Amino acid sequence: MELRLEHIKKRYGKQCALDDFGATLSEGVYGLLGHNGAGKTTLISILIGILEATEGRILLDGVDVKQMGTRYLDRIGYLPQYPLFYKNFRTDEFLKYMCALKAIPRSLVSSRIEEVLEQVNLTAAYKKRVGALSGGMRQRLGIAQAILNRPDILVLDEPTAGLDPGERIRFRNIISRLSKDKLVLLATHIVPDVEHIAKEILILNKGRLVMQGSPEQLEKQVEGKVWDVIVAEDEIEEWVESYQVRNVKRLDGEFLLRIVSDEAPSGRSHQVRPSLEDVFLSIFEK
Amino acid sequence: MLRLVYYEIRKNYLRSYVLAAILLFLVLNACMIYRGYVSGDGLMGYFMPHTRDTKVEWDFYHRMHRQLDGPLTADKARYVSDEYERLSALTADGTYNEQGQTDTYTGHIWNDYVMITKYFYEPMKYAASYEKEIEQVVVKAKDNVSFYQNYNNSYEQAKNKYIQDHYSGRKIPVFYDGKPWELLFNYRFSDLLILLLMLLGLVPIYAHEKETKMDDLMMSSRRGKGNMGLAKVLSAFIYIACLLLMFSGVNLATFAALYRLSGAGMPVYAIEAYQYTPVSLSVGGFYILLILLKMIGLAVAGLGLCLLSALFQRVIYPYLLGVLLFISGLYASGYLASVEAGYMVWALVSPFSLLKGHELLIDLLGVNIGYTFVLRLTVCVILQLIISIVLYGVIRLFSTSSRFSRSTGFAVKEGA
Repeated sequence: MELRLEHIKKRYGKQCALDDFGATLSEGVYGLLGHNGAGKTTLISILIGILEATEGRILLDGVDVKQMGTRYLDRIGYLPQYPLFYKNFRTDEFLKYMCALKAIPRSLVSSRIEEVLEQVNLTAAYKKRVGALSGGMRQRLGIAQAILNRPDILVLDEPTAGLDPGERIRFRNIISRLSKDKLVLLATHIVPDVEHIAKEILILNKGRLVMQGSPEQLEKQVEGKVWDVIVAEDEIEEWVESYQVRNVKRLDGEFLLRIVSDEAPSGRSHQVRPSLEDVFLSIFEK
Repeated sequence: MLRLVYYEIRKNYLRSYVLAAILLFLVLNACMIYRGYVSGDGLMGYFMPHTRDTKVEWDFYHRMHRQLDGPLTADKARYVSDEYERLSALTADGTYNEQGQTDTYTGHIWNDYVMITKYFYEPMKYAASYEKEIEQVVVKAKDNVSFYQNYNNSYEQAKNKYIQDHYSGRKIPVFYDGKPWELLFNYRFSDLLILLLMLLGLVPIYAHEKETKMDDLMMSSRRGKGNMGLAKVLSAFIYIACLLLMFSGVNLATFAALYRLSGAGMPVYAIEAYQYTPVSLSVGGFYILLILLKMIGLAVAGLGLCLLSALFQRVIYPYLLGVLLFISGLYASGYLASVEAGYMVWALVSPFSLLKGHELLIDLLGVNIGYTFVLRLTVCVILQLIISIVLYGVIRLFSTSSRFSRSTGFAVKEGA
């Protein structure tokens, strides 16, 4: 399966929310990184068919999705940002409703619901009210509804926002498992969410795709530019003003700063292995 | 589609607070009818209050109706007329003595005279003379047709022709107590409660989807993109129909239990206030017609609420604007009998005019359209059907996008 986005542009009046976005995606997890307002949700809305691009086209296996009509929607699963669903519905009721929306034949409804609940480890919550589910469980229910139609493309918009660390790890594992035979596009501004599970990262800034590649490839972009340096407390301010300081960690009476810089910031600093967050910072702090 | 309609009903109306409000309002409605029954409110004090002091009068009233209800015969007419004459003679001295007297129906002769005159003699006289009275109206209308023909006044000609065609041959062959029916037709507190329940149930229909982010999920699914608008509107109609049936049923049952509604088969013009009604239905049929008209009016008002819901992201604005819509619509409907064209148009455009179907049908109310006489009711219904089509189109336009600027990216075609 191949999903190709060609020269996607979206304008709201004079404002350009997405500018000449292009990418070719296949099975696996893709992390869509960017600050709030970078254009992630606009791109997702275009991808799932609720927003029309001003320019450009999307091809699925070489066919323009506009030609496919609702058949394209059958191949998509979507989890929106901060979904609340219906608090008065039970879990099974909600999933049955989603089956109706996705036009899943009645004969398949029960088996599909059992299948997806098992996949997201929510079988025990089958008869629970949606309003009684925890934030993490509700997000897993969101994944469950997204995969009810066995989609080829799974689009997740900020799926881990507001989750505790345990739930985030559980969530990442579920996504990893699902990506075996699907294209998973995970939009987030939380780098660790995609760092270890993404096949490729797409970084959006001000509506433009500024970087694309595997985490390792992206990390190579800042290789030799990430430094650790130990400073005294009264020096911190000066360092923060002069360099891109990614992290400040308190040690015994001193502070360890992580800095992204083309040159060694001082003789005291030493080079360290870069991470994806360093890449992210180097782009957005420019 | 049916599955979607069911889930829309489950989602929006089968909620505990909506069900509790319906139950509470049904009880409140029955209490209001009972309150009117006890105090004797309505019909400008035609009925006495139901108190311990009026028990004797009410017993007499019901006893007489049991005796007289049914086909209007010469024997019944003679009996009432004789009683009226007898009591009239006894009270002719003008002393109006209210001291306890023997051999009376209600305790004293003056009271007997008032009861017989007001509740039996006059209504029976009306029923017996109706055929003759209305025939005179028809003859007059016939003369008018010729008269206006000479002056080329097509509108008045058509109006009088309508009277000629629809009023001739009318007669009242039965005698029943029509006043409780009139009271039932005029009763409108339940309409207010239905409107409040519509606000409660319909305002969240689209706005809640946006609040819960479900609108995007719907729009990215096959049925959601194609059928959701229709499913929502159908579910709204079902909700409105259920409310209307429940409240109309409670109204009918409560009035029947308290006032002993009888004579559902008598013509509606047997009720004196409806003597010039343009319809020749039975009283029961007329009540059903009023319910159907209310259904049309409420459905259009419901579509208005759906549109407000589709326009806003948060429910608070449609709630406020919905209340404003109701107030302005109800105000405009107050002009439905107006002779001024501007006011009348406002009234006919307002769906709330159809909640007052009894006022539209109590008399011959027409509109001059191209010098043709058309019933105001007909014009109002046609206008409401046009408005509902327009509203549905606009709802579809707005509901397919969660923001005003959105438009669908993909054609909605099954398996294209």
